Amino acid sequence: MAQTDLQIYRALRKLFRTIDENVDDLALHCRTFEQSRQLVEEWTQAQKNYIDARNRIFDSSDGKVKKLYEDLGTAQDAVEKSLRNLKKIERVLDQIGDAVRMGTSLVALGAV
Amino acid sequence: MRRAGLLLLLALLVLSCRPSLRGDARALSQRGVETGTRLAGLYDSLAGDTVDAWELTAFRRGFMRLPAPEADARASFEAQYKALRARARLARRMVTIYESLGRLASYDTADEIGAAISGLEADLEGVVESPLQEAPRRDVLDAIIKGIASWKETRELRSGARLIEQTAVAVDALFRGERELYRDIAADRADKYRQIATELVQAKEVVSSSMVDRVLSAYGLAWPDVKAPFQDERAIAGILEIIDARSRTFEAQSEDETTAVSRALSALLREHREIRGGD
Repeated sequence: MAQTDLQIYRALRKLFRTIDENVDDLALHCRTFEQSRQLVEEWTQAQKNYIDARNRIFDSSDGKVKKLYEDLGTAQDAVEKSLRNLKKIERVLDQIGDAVRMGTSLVALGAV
Repeated sequence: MRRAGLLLLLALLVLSCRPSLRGDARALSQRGVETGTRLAGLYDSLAGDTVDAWELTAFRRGFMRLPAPEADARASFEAQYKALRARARLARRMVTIYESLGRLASYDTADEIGAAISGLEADLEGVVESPLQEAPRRDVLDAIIKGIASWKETRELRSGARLIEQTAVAVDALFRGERELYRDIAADRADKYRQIATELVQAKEVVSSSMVDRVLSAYGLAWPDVKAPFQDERAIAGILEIIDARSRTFEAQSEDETTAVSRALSALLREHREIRGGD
């Protein structure tokens, strides 16, 4: 993630938490509906900015998450393929057996 | 001479495989499954915290009798929720692949070759004029073929583990890069709980003596009327202190879980390196 994104995020976190910790006191001091409305708009916007800044950082990694998810799928296929290969060991062994038998026959014939 | 060559081949095959690799791969698989499960649990928990924070924010606003904002933060919370769910899915896929590695490590190739070896024995008995001083011995060929099978299995396990390691390293980097955000999400939710509990107590709306009852009961004492909200300012101040202290404990528990996941990922990568070290 970019350092500036992180710095902005931290600044917005601090701002939101300051408002959030004091919103009850502030609400008690509102004398008019307009003041209450203004308070709730500022509080909500601060929260939205804070979460959006966090989401921006998440977004910057989302491509990585998607690619990792796909990479794991590929790795999964490879592992399953390996497993299938092992399960076909009889075929592999047949081939080995053929080679060994050929070698043994050659030995028997005195060709080596 | 020929017999010596045969024995040399056998020795090479035996030396080329590491008997402990399957055990190591099984241990790696086990750790990978545990780590992935724990990681997925953490992401699920954070997704739950996101929903909590959204709902409790709405509750607070209503409780403070503040009007509804023109545009709420629902979309922002939803985006965060989706990001966390995507990471939880990634962690679950990680579990699946380590389970596969475990199956690969548990597959007993050597046992599978018994029948094939019996066939080979018959073929070898058919070789009548062997120039070897003694007849080809089944145990020698048996060992050769088992050695070949084991060697192949070793190669497969190593390549499987290597493939998974690359993604495990990336998952670890992702976790470390976002750890501060995870801590904040858990802290935000803990803040909401604390704020609401505090505001309810301050408003003298709370009916709860359980916090002080455990102290009183130790001396055979009891709060006079458990159905009455706290009215006494000193009791309220004391309860607020308890809420504050407990909220720090909740935050610490959340941080502990994040730390535990971080350590589990480190241990997983260490096991990968150990297996790779055997290449």
